[in-house]
Amino acid sequence: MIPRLFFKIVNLELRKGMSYRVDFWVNAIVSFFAAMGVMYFLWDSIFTASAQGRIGGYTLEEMILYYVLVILIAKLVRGPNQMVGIADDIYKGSLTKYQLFPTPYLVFKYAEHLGSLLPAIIQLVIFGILSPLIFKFPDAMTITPITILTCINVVMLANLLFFALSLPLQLVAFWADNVWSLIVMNHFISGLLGGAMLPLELFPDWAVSLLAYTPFAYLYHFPVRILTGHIGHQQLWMGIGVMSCWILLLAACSWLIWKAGNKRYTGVGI
Amino acid sequence: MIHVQNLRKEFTVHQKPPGLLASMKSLFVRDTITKVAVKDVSFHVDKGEILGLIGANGAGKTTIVKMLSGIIHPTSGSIDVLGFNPWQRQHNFCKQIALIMGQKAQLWWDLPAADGFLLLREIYQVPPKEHQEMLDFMLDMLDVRDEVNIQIRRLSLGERMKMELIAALLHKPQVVYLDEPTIGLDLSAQRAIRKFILEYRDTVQPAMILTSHYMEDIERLCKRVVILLNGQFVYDGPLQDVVKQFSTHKIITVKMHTPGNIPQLDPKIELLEDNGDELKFKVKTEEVGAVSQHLLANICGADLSVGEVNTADVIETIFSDSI
Amino acid sequence: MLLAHLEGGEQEIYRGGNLMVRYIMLYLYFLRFSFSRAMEFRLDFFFRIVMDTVYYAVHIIFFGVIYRHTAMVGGWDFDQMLIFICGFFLVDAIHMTVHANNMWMLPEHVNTGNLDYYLIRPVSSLFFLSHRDFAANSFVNLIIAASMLTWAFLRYPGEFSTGQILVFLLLLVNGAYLYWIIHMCFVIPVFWTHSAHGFQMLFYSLKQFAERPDPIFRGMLRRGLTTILPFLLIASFPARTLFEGFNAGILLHAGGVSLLLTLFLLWFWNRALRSYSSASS
Repeated sequence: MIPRLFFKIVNLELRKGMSYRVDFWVNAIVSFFAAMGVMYFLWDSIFTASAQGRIGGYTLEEMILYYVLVILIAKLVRGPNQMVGIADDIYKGSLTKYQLFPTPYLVFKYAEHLGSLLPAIIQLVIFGILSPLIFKFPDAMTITPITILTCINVVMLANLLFFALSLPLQLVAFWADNVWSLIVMNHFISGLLGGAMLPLELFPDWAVSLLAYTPFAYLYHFPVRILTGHIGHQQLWMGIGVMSCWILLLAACSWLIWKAGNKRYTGVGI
Repeated sequence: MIHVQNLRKEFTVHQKPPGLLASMKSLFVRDTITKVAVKDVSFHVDKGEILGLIGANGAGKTTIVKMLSGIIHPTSGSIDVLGFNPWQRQHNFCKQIALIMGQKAQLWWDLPAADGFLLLREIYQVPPKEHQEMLDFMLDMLDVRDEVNIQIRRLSLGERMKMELIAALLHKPQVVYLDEPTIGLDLSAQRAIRKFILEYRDTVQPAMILTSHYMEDIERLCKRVVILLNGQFVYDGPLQDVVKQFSTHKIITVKMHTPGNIPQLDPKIELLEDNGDELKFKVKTEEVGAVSQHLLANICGADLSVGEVNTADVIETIFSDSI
Repeated sequence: MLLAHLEGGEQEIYRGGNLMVRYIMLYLYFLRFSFSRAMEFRLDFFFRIVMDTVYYAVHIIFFGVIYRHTAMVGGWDFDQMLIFICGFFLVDAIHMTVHANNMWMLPEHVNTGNLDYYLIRPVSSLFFLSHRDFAANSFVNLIIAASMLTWAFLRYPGEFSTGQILVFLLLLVNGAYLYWIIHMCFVIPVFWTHSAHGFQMLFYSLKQFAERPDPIFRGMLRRGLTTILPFLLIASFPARTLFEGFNAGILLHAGGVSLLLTLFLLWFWNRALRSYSSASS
């Protein structure tokens, strides 16, 4: 029963994704090229100014490849609706509606979240194919079928991790009126510390080793480095281990907040 | 004050069939159809007159009101309100009109009404003294003086509507459009608002257009009505003549001298009411003569009178026949 | 033309003097209401302060990390970059406080038809809809951003003349104005698309161009970003008047673009209203 419903929800969300029409595609194309344009010109000027061929271990081509991948993968990890969802349900009182459903609410929400990923997947494929024609990538390609497969699995885990990370923040909506500022904060912090703004190798060494214990480093940087074949076996399993620990920890944390919040919610009798 | 000639409004609507495939298709192309909301309508409203605009949902009432306030551009035809073309939305035009939509709030949800009134005073450039006099008058008239410093969202629906009315009329508009002003309100609030509208009419003598679902609003406020059916006028004239023109039936009232003695009658004759000694029948106009004779023949000792059907019923029949 | 737009195309007599005074009075009312309402949401107040502080910190760290590997970006050293980015923060804070809320609400007004009530007022609908909601909650951020800019100036090893600083601030205010116009141009399509937010997401992606120094951009892109979508005029051009000495060209360029975009916005807005009025029922 539950799995079937789960996929029904996924399907419904997929359809929603298709109905955006022009807005959606214009948005996708422009946001990709804007992000890439800014990064390309920034790094191009830095590489030109400094006479070195490598910065933080990256050549310009590798740097550009990194940004293409991280922009596309970040979309998959975050999903499109990080601003709304659970917090909205709590404010508007539509949570009660879900409480009548047989599916646990959070499972339902995760299904919705997964379903909304289709546009991101399409973008990944399209821009993934187009990018080598537009940007100059490294000559020695290190992406192989094996790294792609590993990456897909890790991205799925990273997606769950991001969901788990934003869940406690959304649940704050039980107490506070405006959760969106927390979500935006999470977006900025995880963007910087997760490698969406800069490859983490550019940070000082102490920061890099510290980041390895946070969930952030595994959201965007880790999957990209796996895809480009820069993560060894041992590092891979270590990383997956840390991710799993964080997911469990955050899930437990969310569960507690959910319990407390739900009591309050029904107590008020909305 | 309001002159409308051959007013027409069409608009296009997008259609989106359900299903995943259709959704994919709608990414690229969408089907549109043209709908005619108002078909070549002409009328006029004079100073001090309240014109009732009657029509079923979707008949085009709101569309007409919006064209007259300059929100919507007509497809063709001409409108003259106070010598202005509403669509140009000149500020001197805006200052003299008011629009009240029962379904939409104009006062700011999160401010007390008093703040909203102040803002409107500034917007309409009403001198403070004049503003205060008008405000005092209306607050007392509608009995909401105590609620004026409470945020709009904390007021009851009736109180909110009263505040909306005040907000709309503070600048003493010469032309007032009331679109369903009493929708969803309880009877006492409806009554208060009706009384208030009449009072405003008497003091300021504006031209008013009222649309409402409640026949009572129309009956109490409007001497003249227009009936709108699928975007066209089917009637324009005094309210009491609606019955004459449209009624296909008459009411025969039989007062019996000896109560309880109801004879066996032709089953085709519709019995409306039975008050014991008084019976009311609804009869097609052309059959009145025949039925009267039939009744007189069958009921001994009775007075018989023929009257009109009530207006609300007639109007309801007009709409239901059109569907 | 701007005045004609505000006047609704004809002569009116104004109580208490001229048109400017009238709109300033109106704006004072907006301010007053916004502050009284903001007091109700104290937690939101706090969250916003934290959020914007995080936003500022993330950007400064971003450049901090980059300058670990290079001495110059686009010809600017870290001290200069700091002044530029804090200048951008100030513009952003002005935008968030004065305009952003209104921009965010506009699509809803259009889609629900609440716009109706704004259209029938004897006040410029563009002014009204862009300024009604002053985000009093963001006001503290405005102070924070201003302090950060002051800090960036104080720690700067070189010296600027008062004139330079005044020109810089003037251009920043112009930058905030341009920022609003550009944002508006991305919201207005909602009159046709009826989507939930117009192309605001697009605006927020493109805004990244304003967060980087303009000398790094070259070619067609640079031309576009200094004319049609003048993101580089928002904070980067003002900063250049500090580092490269006074340059009348920059002042003229910024002024000219602002004027042309103002005319475009008025035209676009009128087209949008025309479409609204022929489509809605």
